[in-house]
Amino acid sequence: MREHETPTARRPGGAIALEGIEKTYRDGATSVRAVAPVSFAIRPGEAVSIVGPSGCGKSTLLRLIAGLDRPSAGRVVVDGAVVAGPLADLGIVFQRDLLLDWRRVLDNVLLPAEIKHLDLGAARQRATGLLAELGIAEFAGAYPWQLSGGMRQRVAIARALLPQPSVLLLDEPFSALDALTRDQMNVTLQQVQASEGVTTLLITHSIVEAVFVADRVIVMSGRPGAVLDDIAVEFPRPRRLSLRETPGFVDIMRRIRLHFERAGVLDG
Amino acid sequence: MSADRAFEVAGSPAPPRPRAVARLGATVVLPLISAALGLGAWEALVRINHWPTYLLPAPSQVVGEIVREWPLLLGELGATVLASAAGFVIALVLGLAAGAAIAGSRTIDRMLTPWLVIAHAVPKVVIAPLFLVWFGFGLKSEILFVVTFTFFPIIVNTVVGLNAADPELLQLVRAMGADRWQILRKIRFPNALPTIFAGIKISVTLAPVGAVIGEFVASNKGLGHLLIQAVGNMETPLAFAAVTVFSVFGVGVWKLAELIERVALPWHASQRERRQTSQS
Repeated sequence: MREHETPTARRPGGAIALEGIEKTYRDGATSVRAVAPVSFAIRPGEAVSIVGPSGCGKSTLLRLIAGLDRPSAGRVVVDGAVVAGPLADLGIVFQRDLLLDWRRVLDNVLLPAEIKHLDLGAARQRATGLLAELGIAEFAGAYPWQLSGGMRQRVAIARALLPQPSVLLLDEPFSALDALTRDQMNVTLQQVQASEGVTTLLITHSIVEAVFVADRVIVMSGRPGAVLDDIAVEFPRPRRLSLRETPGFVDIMRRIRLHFERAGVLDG
Repeated sequence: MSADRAFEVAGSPAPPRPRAVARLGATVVLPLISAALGLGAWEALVRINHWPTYLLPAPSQVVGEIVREWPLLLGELGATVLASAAGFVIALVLGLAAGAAIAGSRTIDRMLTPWLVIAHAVPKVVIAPLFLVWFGFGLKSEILFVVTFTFFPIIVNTVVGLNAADPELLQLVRAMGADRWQILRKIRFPNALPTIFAGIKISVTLAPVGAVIGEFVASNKGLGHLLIQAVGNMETPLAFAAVTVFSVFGVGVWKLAELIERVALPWHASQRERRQTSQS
């Protein structure tokens, strides 16, 4: 599928294992337990969504996997190695696109290549290919302020994917977008995820988004976050938005909603 | 089609644009009208009341003096420009370096910042005569006085700008593997540029003021020296001519700083508004 020369060969991998992870935040005498013991594994190339109510520790889990924070107990293992600091073989997309205002789109995408001292010629080709795949090739020379919110997030995804990471972490990347744009971004994300073959973990509040994008949905309880359910989503890819109206899709959404209703997060 | 082009051609084609004419009127013609009214009133008051020239010369007399003494004024302006430019460049280099050091090291911050605050609080005009004592009569004193006058806005804005990077963005680039030098070069410094330019624009207009004060006390060259001499000799039209040339120089320096800012920061919000307005 990949038409362009890549700046680095993809390292085989992207297997993630959370083993009895706990996280408690302390501030003086007060402490907040954000994550109860959580264990699950993600296979290489798998797309997993984590859905749960606000404050359930979803983003904390993402930070722990990325190595941006340390667990209070348990350990995160990526490709057989315990995570002890920021992961090198990783792409992250946050809720805010965090594009650099002073760089044009193409130069924003090239940022990780510059930081990692990759071959810039090959990286430029790869970046151009990614922008085309994400449908924003004609905006390569634009400044971020000239783009819509959806376009900006596409650029952020291209930037995260540029160095061909084994793992892509997305922390509510579409929650600030309007509903139509968000739907389109869901379609785009699952296409790119499939073509790149990258292990993907999506943190989201949206049940429909979680199911549409993923091979598995992990449902989390309110604080302290614990795994309530782990649901396989076995619809073929590529997926179309009409999939969301099929009985199988609706059944999975209902199953997730029931968890939240029982937990008192949603009123049935 | 480039993206810029895509955005620029989105509107209707250009030919005669009444809005552009109206904008030209608002930005150029209206200030000219107010200037003509003010100068006309000044001219009339001087002539009707027969005020002596040594007290207040009419604008026409000032213009005549500028034409008559142009070689002298130009020579003195050159001396003022030299002191201003040299002092400003030294202040810029020192301010950026010290600002980066303070923003990058908590130890340096704690060691230097209290003294900088105290030094900044000292009224600089009052210490101008001391420069004559310390550094002697001439260009060196003048330049060092300009440095003292222009250094603080640059260092303060550099520190503020470098410390203003988005923490989540810093976290993202650290996750990419960026080291401190890369973060400074690729994130903190470009992010700080608008703030640094704000400091530069303040300093660049302070530089000629500092040079003129330096020339008052420690030089026999420059517009400041000419001004003191003219006032002492009751040559008020020459004093007004010097002030006029100095003012034009100050405005020119400000406009130059604005131009450099516009070229260096085409992405900044202030320039976006300008671009959008010019396209509307």
